Amino acid sequence: MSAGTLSAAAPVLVSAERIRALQRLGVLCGIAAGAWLGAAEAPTKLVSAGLSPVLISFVMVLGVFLGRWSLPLAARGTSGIRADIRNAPHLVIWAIIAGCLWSVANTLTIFAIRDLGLSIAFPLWNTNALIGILWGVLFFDELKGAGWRRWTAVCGGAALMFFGGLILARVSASQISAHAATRGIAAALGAGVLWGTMYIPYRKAYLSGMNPLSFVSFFTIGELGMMAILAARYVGGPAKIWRELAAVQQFLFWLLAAGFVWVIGDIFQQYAVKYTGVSRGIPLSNSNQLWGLLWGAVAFGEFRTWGQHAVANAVYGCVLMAGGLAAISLSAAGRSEYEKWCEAAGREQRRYRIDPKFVSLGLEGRSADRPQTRKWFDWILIAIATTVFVWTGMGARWPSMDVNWPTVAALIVIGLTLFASAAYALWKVTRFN
Amino acid sequence: LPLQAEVRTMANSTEACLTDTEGGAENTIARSTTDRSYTMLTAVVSDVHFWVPAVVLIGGLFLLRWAS
Repeated sequence: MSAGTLSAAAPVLVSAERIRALQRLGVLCGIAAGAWLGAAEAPTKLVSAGLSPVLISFVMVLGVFLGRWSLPLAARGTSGIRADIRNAPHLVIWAIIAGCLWSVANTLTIFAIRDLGLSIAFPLWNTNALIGILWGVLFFDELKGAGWRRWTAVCGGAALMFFGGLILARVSASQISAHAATRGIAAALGAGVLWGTMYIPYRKAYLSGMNPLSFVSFFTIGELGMMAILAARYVGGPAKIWRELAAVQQFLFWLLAAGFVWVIGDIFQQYAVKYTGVSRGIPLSNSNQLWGLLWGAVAFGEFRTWGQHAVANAVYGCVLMAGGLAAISLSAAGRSEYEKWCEAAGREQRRYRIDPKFVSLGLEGRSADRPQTRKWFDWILIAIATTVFVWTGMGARWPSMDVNWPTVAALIVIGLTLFASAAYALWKVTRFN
Repeated sequence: LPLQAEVRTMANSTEACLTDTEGGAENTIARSTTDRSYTMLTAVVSDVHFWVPAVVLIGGLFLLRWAS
């Protein structure tokens, strides 16, 4: 290895078994991400209509902020985050840009839902997977040296999931507004482009050896900052936001909980992107549409009002999405593709003059630092986040709506099983690196 | 002249710090914060990857203004 650079040769010394283990881990994280990102829709369904959509988004982002600081602190502590940022300080800028992209995209989806309805808007912004694949191939040499089989599996799988999503969109035709406004379509597609582009900073961070738990801590600063600006613009000034928050106090807990559940899904998504790349990680986590449908249709009884044709369409859509998911899951990156990743990592290392050891260890899912211990400061931050959830939870009101409890219990058990499996695998293989 | 000499010495020492990576972690510590942030900003702004999200973000803000 030449001085100051990371050659492709160094990380490829990693055994084939280790590469396979990291790939399997990434796929498992992607599947868990889909389940938890989909489950995040459940608490929002508990909130009755009439709230400002931007306010809903703002409170969810507050929950996301609390989750993004408390979970990484519980896992690694601020000292671990500080050590990572010392090694690659430029990633703070990238994380904040990614957070801003997320907030603008999320607000665009609100307007898309307003104009088109959730069922049409959802698959439109899920085109983010195709944008992500484009950037992954163009900028990070993803899928290069992958062979036609993997190309077909990944691109075909992403296309299958996209068409499955379109079929699912047609299912709840009653929700679709009569005139699909150009404005709504542009907003939904725009959100897809923004979210697809958001994975450029993600990929740069993980090729640089960054720990996903550290990256999300700074990502959320951009996210909350941009969302606060947008909320002030669309809801009114800070005083008006405060008044509206006070008026919906009984629903705050559900929205914060939705944000927290979303964070769990997003953290798994970050690990999926880190260990399988953008081109596989995003389509896998986009299976959240499937889980969202399960929650809405089965747990909240939306199926009951559907005709036989709609149910059949839902089944076809689910089968297509599951087929796409399986195709991508089974097309793990091989050694030649991994070498291309290492070359891309080498370019990042040279440009930003990062410690080569930090980069290569990060790519292997290891850390140069000793396991970090939690300081008193970490416990105070965790206690503040917990207090906010307990305080809003005490004032929460259970909305009056029909819920299919056995299905809710089954979905929660599946979600927790995926959480436990992915978290255990992450700990065992990478110690959350 | 003394100023030029000082700048030259600083540049040499910076280069030495940045190119000597025999002890990776020590190398990071050896860089001064000012030097690091200058290098970092230049590296970020001259990175084509930076301009793609930046342009998309600005476009997204315009789109949001129009769609709302």
